[in-house]
Amino acid sequence: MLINIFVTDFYKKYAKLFFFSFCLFVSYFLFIQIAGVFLDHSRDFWTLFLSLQFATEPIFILIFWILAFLYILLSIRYLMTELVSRKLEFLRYTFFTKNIQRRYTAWLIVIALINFPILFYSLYSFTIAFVILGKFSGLWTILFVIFLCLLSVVSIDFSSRRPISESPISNIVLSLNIQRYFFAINLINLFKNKFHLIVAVKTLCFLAIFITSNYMEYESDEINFKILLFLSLTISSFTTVILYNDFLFEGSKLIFSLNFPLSRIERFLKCIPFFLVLMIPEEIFSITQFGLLRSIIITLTLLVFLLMIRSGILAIGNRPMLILKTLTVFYFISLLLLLYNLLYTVLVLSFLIALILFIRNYKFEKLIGKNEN
Amino acid sequence: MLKIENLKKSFVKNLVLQIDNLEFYRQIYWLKGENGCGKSTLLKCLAGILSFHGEISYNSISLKRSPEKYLKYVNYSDTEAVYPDFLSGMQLIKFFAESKEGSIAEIEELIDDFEMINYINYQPISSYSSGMLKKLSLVLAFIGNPEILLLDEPYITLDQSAILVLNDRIVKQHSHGSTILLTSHLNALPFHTEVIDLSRI
Repeated sequence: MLINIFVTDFYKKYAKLFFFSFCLFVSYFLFIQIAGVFLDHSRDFWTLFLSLQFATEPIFILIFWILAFLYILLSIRYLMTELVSRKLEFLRYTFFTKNIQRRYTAWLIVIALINFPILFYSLYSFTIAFVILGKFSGLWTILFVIFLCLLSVVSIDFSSRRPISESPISNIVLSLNIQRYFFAINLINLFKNKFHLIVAVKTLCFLAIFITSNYMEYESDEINFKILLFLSLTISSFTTVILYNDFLFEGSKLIFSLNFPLSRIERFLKCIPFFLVLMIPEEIFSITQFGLLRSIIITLTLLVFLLMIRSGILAIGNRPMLILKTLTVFYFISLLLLLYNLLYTVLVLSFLIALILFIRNYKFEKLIGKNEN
Repeated sequence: MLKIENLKKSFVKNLVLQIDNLEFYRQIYWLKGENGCGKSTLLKCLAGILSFHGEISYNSISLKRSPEKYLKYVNYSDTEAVYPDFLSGMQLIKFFAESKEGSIAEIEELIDDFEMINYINYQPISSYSSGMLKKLSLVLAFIGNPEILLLDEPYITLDQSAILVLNDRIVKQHSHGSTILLTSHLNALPFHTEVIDLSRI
């Protein structure tokens, strides 16, 4: 029955994610097969390219480890959230009365089934690398995934067999002066419900900062500003995922805040503290990589781009694909303007468009309209 | 003997329950009190669902130190029970029976008594009415002859025939030597009970 409760429900809940990944794989192999007509001699190489790389190349192994870690983190968060839900309260006086061996066996089966895609792909990748290249390096990945699964078993059983305690997050919220720190609600929601997303986005942002600081020329003043602006643009684009989730949260749970007696400009600017706190990791990392002055420039320009993206999301509403397309257009137009050294134009235009879009669309009407459809 | 010592339960900063010392023997206890005095909270603490400060033990087996051993003796029925709605009632009953070492004969008798045979096997819980759900939660609570039976508002949403069956079951369970704690806003119950008014503790 645990398989019914957890495994089936997990795959149902994340069906879209699996479908998207499946389509990506199918597209990749279809592309290889079609391209293979023209590149007959290298078709097999490209077909097995990813599997070989994930089992042999250190950088690809690292990427796979990060992906596996994020996936397992997602599964742990899912299980923990489900276990404290009211519908599963009965497990506390039924399932948790079983002895430790039976509980661990049950958890092991559940977690192995949930993490089956990762386990299967690491095994497949190892087999391919071993058969073709005779390399054993893929074994480390399998061991790493198994280790994470075992860790999940122990942590889930340990944390969920205890009674449900009051959330420490609730204490933090109550201790805050909400009038002054209203944005903290958005932050707490993100950290509580979208932690895996934050980890993924921050990883990409850190990677962008690292690559920019180490592999791009930034000594000359002019290029310096251009590259910093490019970096802000890239970070803000990655952060769109977080802003979109925050938009959904505000539109459903914080819609009452529209009743607050604030002018439209105040409303437009009130998310700045939220952005500043959200971006603390990037701010700190950019200080270590670029120094304080350049980091301040990054932060300020980042704020402008984030305001622009937030207004864009409000204007488009709950239509993720359209948001993605608009973001891509915005990113490449800005990039083009940057290449023509129209740096201030990008910033001023972004701020003005952000302001105008916000004033016209700040009421979450698009979210309601989409839900009704 | 079920024993509570220095129990304190707060929700965030509001103290909702404070019991210095309370002992329950093999009897039927009727927990009374106004709304919000902590009746359901006490039952949830005793069922190991909510955390608390202090100590709860049964025959010297501590809920905090040995939850597995303690919870073997406990069954609980919630006021408005919630279960995964895609399961059938029978799937849940089998799961409870396996965990609580209930027998097939006992399960069949319970299903028969509460007149659940028409829907228990195949109908998903999502299609249950509140009365059907209440019956299911009561059946689950009686599985395995629990030594401690916690019933939170067991009479709400039940029809007259189910109420009579429930009364019979409670008396029968008591005769097996169980400690039964129930809450109810009814004026009277048709069996002898020890009344505990939580508003006065």
